[in-house]
Amino acid sequence: MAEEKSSKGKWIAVIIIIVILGLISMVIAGIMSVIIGITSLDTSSTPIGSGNVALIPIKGVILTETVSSPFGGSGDTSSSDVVESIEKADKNPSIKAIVFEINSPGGSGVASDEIASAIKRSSKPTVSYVREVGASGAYWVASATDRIFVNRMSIVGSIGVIASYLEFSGFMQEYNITYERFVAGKYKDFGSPFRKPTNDERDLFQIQLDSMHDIFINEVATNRNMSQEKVRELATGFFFTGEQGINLGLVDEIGGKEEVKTYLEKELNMTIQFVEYKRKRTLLDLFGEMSSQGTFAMGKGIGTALVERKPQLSIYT
Amino acid sequence: MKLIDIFFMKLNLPKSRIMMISASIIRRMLAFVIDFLILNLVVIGPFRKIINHYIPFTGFMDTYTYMQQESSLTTIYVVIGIVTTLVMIYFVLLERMFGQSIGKMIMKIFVIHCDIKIKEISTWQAFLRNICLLPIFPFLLLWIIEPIVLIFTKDNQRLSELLSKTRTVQYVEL
Repeated sequence: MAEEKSSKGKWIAVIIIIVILGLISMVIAGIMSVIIGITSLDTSSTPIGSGNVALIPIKGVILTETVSSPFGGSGDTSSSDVVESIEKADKNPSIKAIVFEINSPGGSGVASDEIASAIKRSSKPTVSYVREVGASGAYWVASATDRIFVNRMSIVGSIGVIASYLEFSGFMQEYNITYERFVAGKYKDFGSPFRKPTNDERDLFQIQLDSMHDIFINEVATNRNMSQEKVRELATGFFFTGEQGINLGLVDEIGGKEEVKTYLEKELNMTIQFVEYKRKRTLLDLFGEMSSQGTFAMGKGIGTALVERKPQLSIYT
Repeated sequence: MKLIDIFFMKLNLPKSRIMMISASIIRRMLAFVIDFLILNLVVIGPFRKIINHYIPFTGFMDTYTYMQQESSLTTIYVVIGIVTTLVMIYFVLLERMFGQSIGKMIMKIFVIHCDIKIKEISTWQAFLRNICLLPIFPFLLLWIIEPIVLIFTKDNQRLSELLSKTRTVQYVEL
């Protein structure tokens, strides 16, 4: 009887140990998944490395660099990461084509150009499919691929350049705050929020924006094999639906991931399986990034208070 | 009741004798497989998504090529470190407390001190006898050395068992 009792106690202790070990594993794995950005714990999804067509997501704002947070990814796309993925996929002999899943309103002109250039450098067939939005810089990226698929209601086009900043001079005047200007080079403090830009500065800035617009138009015309005049007509900055985009020659076909799969299977004459290419952040990367960003932010804060008077003027395509 | 039964009862003779012998290799292997299956479910399972996210399992060569090319494998090393620690805790704790892991309990084999007067093995002994589970050099070599030593030693001891002065035994009824 006593032996039976001790055996029962032993099994209870063993079960408790197993449960504790399981809980520790689950908690650590859960925390790591959140940090790394694996949001779905569905084990049925395709693991990285098991397909023959690279799938590269381009989501959110396209920037040259993004910073992920431990409480969730930044949700934006870094051109450095995408270019790295394109180059890796291009070098991988088991990858037969590269597909871009686009859902982005655009972003930095430089970042878009970097991605578009990398696509054009790739030796493999490239296809993109636009989900909700493939506008501006994101359209620039899509135009560099061999074929563009869209949903009927996708937003495409919006070929234009935008720049803006907040200007506080009226507010400062109201509170009797004056802006003391010291510059060497008369346009050096252009974009300062503490004074209104002069007409001369406005004209000069417009010239710069127009020049960027020209580059954008030129790129789209070359990528889509369209005349510059035709693209210029469409490059009002306004967007088109996927269906209108087909009629205007901005995109090729109606379809999504499945249609892209069918198209590639026909083109490559083989069964294809997508494999997602994403920049993988390691824990050390992440912690390093967080600490360097934190230190940088502190330093920047102090620096700004002491010397910086000029705000960031962002230009987006 | 027969007369002979009464005779034996009066003499109070044992009905059977229990002897301790070295655990059979088959039992030990099965015990390890059971432990591995449990640990695969409880400890490795939650990390499966992270591992799959980082390493392609399309084939040995693909995985090997990927590991050679991939420079940022820190996360995988962190996962391996955590999993190994938990696996070690499982074996050390259970063998220290009960002289048996779950696999050994099911296969009815025990870990004992070589000196049978000492009832329990120490934590250090439990750790040392499981040192081959550490996935780092030179302990990885034990995966080759251990089975060879096990076959050729008198009491079917692994090298790490010899070092930790422990034995794996089973009880047989005679």
